[in-house]
Amino acid sequence: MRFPGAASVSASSLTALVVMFSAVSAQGPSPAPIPRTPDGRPDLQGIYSFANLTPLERPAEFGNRLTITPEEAAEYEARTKVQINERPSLQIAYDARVWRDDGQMSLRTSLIIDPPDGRVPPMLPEAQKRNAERLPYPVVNRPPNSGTTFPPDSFADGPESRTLGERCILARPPGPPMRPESYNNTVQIFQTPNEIALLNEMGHMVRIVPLGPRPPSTIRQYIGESRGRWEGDTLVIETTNFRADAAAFANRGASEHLKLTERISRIDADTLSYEFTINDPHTWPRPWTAQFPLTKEPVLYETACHEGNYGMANILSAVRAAEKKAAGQGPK
Amino acid sequence: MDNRFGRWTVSVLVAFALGAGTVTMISGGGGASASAQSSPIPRTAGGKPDFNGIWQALGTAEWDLQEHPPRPGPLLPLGARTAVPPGPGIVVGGEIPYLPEALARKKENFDNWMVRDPTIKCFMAGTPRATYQPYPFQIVQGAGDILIAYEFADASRVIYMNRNDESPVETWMGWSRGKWEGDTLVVDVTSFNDQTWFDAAGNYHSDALHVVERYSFRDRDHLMYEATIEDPKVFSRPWRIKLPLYRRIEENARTYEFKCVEFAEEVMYGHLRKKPGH
Repeated sequence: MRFPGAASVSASSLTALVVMFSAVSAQGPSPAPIPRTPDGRPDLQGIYSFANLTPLERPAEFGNRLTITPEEAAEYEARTKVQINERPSLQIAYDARVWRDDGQMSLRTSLIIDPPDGRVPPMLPEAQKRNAERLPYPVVNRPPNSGTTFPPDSFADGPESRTLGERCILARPPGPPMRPESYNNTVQIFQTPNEIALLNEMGHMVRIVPLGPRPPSTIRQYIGESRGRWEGDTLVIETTNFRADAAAFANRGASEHLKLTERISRIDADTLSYEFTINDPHTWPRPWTAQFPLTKEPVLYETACHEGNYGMANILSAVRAAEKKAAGQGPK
Repeated sequence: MDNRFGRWTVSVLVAFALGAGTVTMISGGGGASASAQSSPIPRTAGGKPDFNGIWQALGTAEWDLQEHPPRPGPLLPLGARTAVPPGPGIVVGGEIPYLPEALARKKENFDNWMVRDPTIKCFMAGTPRATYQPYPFQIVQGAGDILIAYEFADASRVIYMNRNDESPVETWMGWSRGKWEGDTLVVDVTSFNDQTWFDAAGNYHSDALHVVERYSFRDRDHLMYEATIEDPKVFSRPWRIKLPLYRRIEENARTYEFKCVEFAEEVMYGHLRKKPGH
């Protein structure tokens, strides 16, 4: 479905934006009261999709525009899907039109709603230096929509040479934070008075968020360490204690000092608003925020990335064979 | 048992040996003054038994579902440290009713368990094995579907409380549909693949596996877990396992991220590494 803009964004500085998006998507009478749990909180439970072709950052072609027309969105979507589905690297074994789940283009030009230019702020010099030293391979950007960096195919001395995603340790989209990706854009939310649990389909990743006090932990985890609280009808989750190699948006250069704030609220019976703010003063001079909807979905699959990871053995064995060949030992 | 269980395990073992009536006194039991036997079980706002919490099995079923003597561990340099401890087993009646040819494969699995046990590779352990692996798991039970999140391999299951459809695909952890029978949560688990084992003794199943689990409170800090296991390709009749699950009552009890993939990469891909000098 086309998502209804930032209808529930809470930051007051965004009010004008919200009104504009609401006007774009307004349809029908005012919505029914939202469902609530026995303890009076908004009931966030359910299975949701966050598939969305709207890019994280606003493409240059849209200039300073916050929104586009339905015709422009349809044209962008058709063009982008052709680019994705006909990419040579996706033509090897599968039909990309079948397995990919890119969602649709919305009337918004970027998922980022702050800063107003819809783009990740320029990285600080200290972060540029740190990342240049950290990545032992040249950065390759793979557009559109991901911004993910991959090592070159030949960078494969062992499994540790490859990305956490390729190793099935931390698949890309679930984060935290969640963000739309190529496939498995599904999450199920569980809710009790004392915790919220998020089960992401990609990588069967579970994050259990305590809503009450919990002793601080010194452990750094791939998924960080989350604490939740209610601010009115909005669930706010703050996450710190990321690992240096797996901070949210580590693939964009973020550091382990990053603090992630997620806000989830219910828009209507089928839709939640999901918003996240990235605050990492060691990487970006200012926080930045993205927002998109979670829409009701019928089923969440069990993914078994590692159990079926034939790719890792194939990558390593292919590079070993190429090395043998280059040394004159392999088949001509 | 491993050091990571700490003093809690010891105190519960002692308490268990002394009898359930002393559990509250020794464990501290969240300040309850009544005995564990008479204290009411926790209930949700809807009146159902409230299984929310962190639970863990004790015992040696992970090593062998059946009564078993000690046996050498997989790491000779670690000597007694990794030896397999003896235990009484959790199979009701003691016998697993294998079909003759399936029994032969089970024995072959046992002889090769140090190579074949799927959990060596950090594969999801399957159901019911994830329940009695020696790691905690957390139940998140709201008003709708119930989540069980296990530490090992970050495996999890959703127990669907309101759906009748079959799983769209086969799975590692099963397709779980729950219903209440009085105060017992009964979970029907189907759509398994044939890739998981029941333990580290080679007990296995086919893709025809069907498990029916029953979760019920014994007292507020102990659950009884029963599972009926059916697989006409491997067993001549259904059979049952039964074991208690213990609430982790430490003030700082929690589950951690335990992504074991990185500990399995050497055994899975080590032969494909670049060799020094090449």
